[in-house]
Amino acid sequence: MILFNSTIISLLLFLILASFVSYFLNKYIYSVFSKNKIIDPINSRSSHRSKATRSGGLSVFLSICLCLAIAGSITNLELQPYGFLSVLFMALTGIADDFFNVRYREKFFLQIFAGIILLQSGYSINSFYGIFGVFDIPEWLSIFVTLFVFIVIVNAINLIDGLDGLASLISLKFLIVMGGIIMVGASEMLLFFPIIIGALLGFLLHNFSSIKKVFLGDTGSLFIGATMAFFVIYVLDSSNQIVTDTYISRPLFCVLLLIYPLTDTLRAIVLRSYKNQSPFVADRIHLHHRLADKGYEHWAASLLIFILSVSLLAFNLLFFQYIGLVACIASTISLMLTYFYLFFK
Amino acid sequence: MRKIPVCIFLAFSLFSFSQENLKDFLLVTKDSSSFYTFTKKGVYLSSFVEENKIKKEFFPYTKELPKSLLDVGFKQLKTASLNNSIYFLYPGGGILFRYKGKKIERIDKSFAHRNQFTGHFFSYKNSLYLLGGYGYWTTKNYLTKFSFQSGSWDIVTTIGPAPSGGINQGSFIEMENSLFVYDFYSRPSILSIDVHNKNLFELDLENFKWSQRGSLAGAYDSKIESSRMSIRSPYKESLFEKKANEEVFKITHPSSNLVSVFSSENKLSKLNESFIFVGDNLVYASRNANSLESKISFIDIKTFEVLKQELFYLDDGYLFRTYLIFAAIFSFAIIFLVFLFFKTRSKIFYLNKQSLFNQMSSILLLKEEFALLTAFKNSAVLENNFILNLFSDETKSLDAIIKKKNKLINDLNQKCKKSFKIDLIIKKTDKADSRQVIYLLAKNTRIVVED
Repeated sequence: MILFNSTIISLLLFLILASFVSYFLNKYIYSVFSKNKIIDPINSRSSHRSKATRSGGLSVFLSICLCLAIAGSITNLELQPYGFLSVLFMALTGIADDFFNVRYREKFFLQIFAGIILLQSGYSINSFYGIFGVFDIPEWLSIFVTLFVFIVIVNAINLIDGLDGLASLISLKFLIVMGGIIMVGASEMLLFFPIIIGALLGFLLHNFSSIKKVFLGDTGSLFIGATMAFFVIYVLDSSNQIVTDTYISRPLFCVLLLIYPLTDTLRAIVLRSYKNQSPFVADRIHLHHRLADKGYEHWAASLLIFILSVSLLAFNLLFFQYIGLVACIASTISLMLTYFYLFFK
Repeated sequence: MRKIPVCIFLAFSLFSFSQENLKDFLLVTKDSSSFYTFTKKGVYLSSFVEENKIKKEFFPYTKELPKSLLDVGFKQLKTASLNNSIYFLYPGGGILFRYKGKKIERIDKSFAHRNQFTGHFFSYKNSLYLLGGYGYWTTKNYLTKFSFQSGSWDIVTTIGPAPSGGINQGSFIEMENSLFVYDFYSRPSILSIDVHNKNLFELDLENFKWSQRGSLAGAYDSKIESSRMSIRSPYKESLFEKKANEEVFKITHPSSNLVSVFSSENKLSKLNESFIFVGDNLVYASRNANSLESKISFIDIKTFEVLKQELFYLDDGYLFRTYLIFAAIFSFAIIFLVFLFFKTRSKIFYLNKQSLFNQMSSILLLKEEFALLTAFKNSAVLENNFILNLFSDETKSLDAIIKKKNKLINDLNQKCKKSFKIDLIIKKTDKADSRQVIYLLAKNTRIVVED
């Protein structure tokens, strides 16, 4: 119990510390960007009409690094070095993209490179957990699948970053749940979670601001996407013991954690392909754009997507043990279709 | 006289040899009051009699020891009792010997596997099993069962989350139908390093189902080298463990989820890896440094004082469920705070010379509308006279100016209603003077003029 209490105290302390650091760093970097006229241009696809900077990702990244340094020096926090290096590499790619506009093909190769660094951590998706009747997979396939999943998640988070607070809230949902798994399975990494959650909360206040608006930018979306990809691969590595195995199947659990980014990206790619367009073309075909076009304010649309996505996860966590995998998948698809007709149609 | 030193030398060599032989023995528990001491020449059966004295009988083997047993020291063998027989497993698994009827025989038709060193050899319901171990540079997590019919070892299929990386140098506790496995190291591939597993696993021996009970609450050695300094032995349905050079020992009870730490009061300083429990007596062999003779000693474990009791493991399921409750509260707090923040926050409209806009929409403005809205930038309440002054025109009558003002406000409100779903300007009578009319911006609304 003493152990549990001391853990809660350190979690709260670092949550508060990261929130404050992120809030003030966002404020400071916004003013630096504003003074130097590094402003996000307003065009036909822009969701904002006022002055905004793409400094959020950089601020969040710096806040996390600062808090991790503090946590690393005073607690037993241990991060997987190759995992962190891969995430760092993606953050640097994002910074380059925010400042100089990296071309999509170059960004793609950089993502593959970051994925290869991540593979050095020793974590990989080495089992399909019975999907298509397949369990353990050969090493070459494991490398391919791991890289594919890494790239899909990083890009999916990048693509949903189209409304105020959406990418942050979806990331918060992921990180809050993943924190529980890491707390049980790899407690040496636990403090990373209050730090990143706190940093995102500090950023959200600026992101929701009407006058001094701050966006995550590519730095933020690539950084957070790579972080989420790392933890998804950690969960899908069969050599790691995951507490949720008692409650839910691992692949279903990972899909549910990322249900909105994955669904929206898949839908966008299918619709673009149907229209004979490039799957990577920028447009307003995303589900969150539909909500905005229906008159939802950005915060309301983001919050609605957050609530719907949490409800799907909660449903599966509660009922998986009783109704099984197939019924859970069928129910989830039914619920998603219901949500689509109720809110997005 | 010259022969005396030679004789002394030969005698000393012989003595040393015999002492060397005495070094190789194995203590095995028979029941709660007696134990065997196996040597290469025969077996001693020792029984505790009254006043804690030991009665010792020697039984020479009635048959020559198997050749494969002569190659290896008794201390290197792992033992298990089954149906009044003692079974000895060759290091690394494979070759199996049985002691029954005062003779030791080899009973397998296998070979030295060398694949499961440090694995756990145990008996359960008329069968012998070997779990995990280390061999050929990797750790193993499989369970093998000895077939008395074929004389070979077969892999038993288990279900559930087995320790996937393998089990090396682990702690094992047998309890009813379960085998608890914890504090072990894994090296799943040749290139990887030994990694300490911090979880408690349970293998249900009825249906061979693995389950993860939780993570270990106490501190355990993260490096395999320091772990090798520990000596362990099963004690009833718990595990006794002591580290060399430490004056404490601990007994782990999985059933009550407790680890009891005892002070050894320097009474167990001679304890080495050759020890067993016979009832509550800890029986061990200690060697005298002067005579180099081994002597069997025993001590009642109940005489030691408990220093403290610690939690053995944290229930992962309970921890995760508790965490999820906090996570749900935290998520609801985020939803509530975001909702509250936006519901109580002013709606911001941006104004420039051509238009009024917000995130959702925009409307085009006339010159007079811009002037009117600019006036609202500094004050949310404007008096009628102030607004009339904005429209003052010497060429027009006051009545015409009033009509123009009313039409303008009405048109602007209609445009706002259509685009923003809001009546932007509200007309009211002044509370201080009911004859006066004032104009207010809609509640929680702010106008920001663009640079």
